[in-house]
Amino acid sequence: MEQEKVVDKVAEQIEETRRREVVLSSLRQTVLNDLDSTIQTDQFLLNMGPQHPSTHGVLRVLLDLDGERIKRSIPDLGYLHRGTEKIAEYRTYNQIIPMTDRLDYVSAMANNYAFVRAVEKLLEIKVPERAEYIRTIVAEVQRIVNHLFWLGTQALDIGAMSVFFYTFREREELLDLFEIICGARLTSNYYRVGGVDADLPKEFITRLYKFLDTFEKNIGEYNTLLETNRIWLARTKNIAVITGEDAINFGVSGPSLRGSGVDYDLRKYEPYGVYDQVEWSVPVGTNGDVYDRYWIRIEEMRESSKIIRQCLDRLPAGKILTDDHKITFPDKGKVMHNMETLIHHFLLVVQGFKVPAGDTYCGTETPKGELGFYIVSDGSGKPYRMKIRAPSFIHIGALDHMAKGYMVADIVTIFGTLDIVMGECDR
Amino acid sequence: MGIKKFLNTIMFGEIMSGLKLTFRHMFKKAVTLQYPHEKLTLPDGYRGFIVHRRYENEQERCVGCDLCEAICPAKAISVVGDIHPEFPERRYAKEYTLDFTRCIFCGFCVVACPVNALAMTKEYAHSSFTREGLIYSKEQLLSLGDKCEQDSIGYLKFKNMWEAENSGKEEGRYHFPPIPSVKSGG
Repeated sequence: MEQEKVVDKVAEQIEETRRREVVLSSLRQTVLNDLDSTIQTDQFLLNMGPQHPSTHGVLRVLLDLDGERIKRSIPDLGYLHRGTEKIAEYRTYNQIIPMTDRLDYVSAMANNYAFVRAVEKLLEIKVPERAEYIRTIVAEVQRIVNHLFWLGTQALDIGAMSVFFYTFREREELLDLFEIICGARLTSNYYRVGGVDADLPKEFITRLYKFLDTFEKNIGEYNTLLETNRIWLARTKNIAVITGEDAINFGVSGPSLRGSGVDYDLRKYEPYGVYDQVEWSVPVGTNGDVYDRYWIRIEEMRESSKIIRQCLDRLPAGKILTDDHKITFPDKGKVMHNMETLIHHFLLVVQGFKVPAGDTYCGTETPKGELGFYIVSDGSGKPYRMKIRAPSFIHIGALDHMAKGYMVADIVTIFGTLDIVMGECDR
Repeated sequence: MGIKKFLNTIMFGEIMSGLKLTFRHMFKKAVTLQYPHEKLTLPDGYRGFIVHRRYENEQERCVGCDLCEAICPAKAISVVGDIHPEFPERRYAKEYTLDFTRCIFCGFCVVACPVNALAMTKEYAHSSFTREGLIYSKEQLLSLGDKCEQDSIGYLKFKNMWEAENSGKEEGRYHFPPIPSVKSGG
């Protein structure tokens, strides 16, 4: 009897627990169901790139989204790393020039100029006057090419397709001009330490004059399509605002810095080439948004065409390469007829010219910003170390700051406004 | 002013002016080319495929000096020089390979060549289904050079190397005069 009672009690207890469990689990289920039906407020991590048509190359960005707002954007670099800086340690200075073409591949001439200037600073040589004029003309043509490319792709990213066709029409004309002087459209390899590779043919000058005559009208065409277009204004005004102070702290340079109201242009403050002999001004924005940076680039194209016209008018006669044949290759005629020159030619080709030991940093105002080359020389024909301060790389650093709080649809605009090229960024 | 701006806004004035611009462009001449049928005229300094050149008597110019190999930034050229089998005082390139898969078309090899044996041409549309097909031997480079002799002369003229070659009248020790033609029994 006693035993039976105990068993009954235990069975009852077990039954009770089971019942409780059933109730609890059904409760839990209802709670979970309720949770499911409410909106999820978790963060959303979106992977953008590296294969994305609007990231201008192989840039990967991790977007931390809160709804449609960007909370954080983490750029992931290195997909186009080719080790240019390391390869440069095994190449003579002349051999590095075609490598700089491939840094910022939409403005190769500007890269050539920046590198050649750094080497010339180490060598402490003077460049003939005509060469300086030619260099300035070509660098400014390259600036127009770069800004045309930027304007076309930026407008295309935002959704205005016709601008792209019109800017590329002009860009093709200028690239054809590059083809005349250096033989290639993009990989120019035109600047040399101590001057330039080839003189400007007559055809180049007449065609460039003709281009400049119609260029102002063509800029008007782009502005008709964009300047007051309400879609363009809505997509660019007050987007990716960065204050001048922040921009300086992030190391932003070039048009992106000047858009924030900082009047800083290396061509004005550390004049090189013949920039101090021609009349031009530095356009400066006020708001530091995408629209201001667009306006700055349009104005820069106008200023560049002014510089080119003045330089072409004043183009002096003379040599295009320095006479110092310790640095430049001797004339082919002498190489073929003179034994000493031939020996010298062999030495220059095999060992490269010797650069005195020391180090230097030389910044040049390229279309993207300040492109600097830091070269350490140990006195041999090859650099001991070459560090490239690429503006695109520095600008990527400000991406998170500039994109914070804007819509996910704006991220493409923000890439574009920084004018980044991954070849230069990853090097 | 106020009413004008208002009308402009409701009539999509700025978009209309943009459309007017694109519409006008329909009647302008196209700036594009129908590529395979029409081709661009390339400038003399165009840096296309690299070729080997010969003297007027069909003698190849290359002396196998390795300078192009030394200056090539992409390490695309490899040269094996040797003594010429018929003229023991002379050297030639026993093996010469130019790897166009590596070549970056910078034009430095032409600058380095002391005998103007190399030149660049306006050839650009060479392709191959295999990698080996783009590794050119000396014979291939010579035959390509025969095909585009005018291009190579134009290139050298543009780079101020042609005048140098023909201006030097004195028969210096290091002027490389063409050897009498083998064919004519000389």
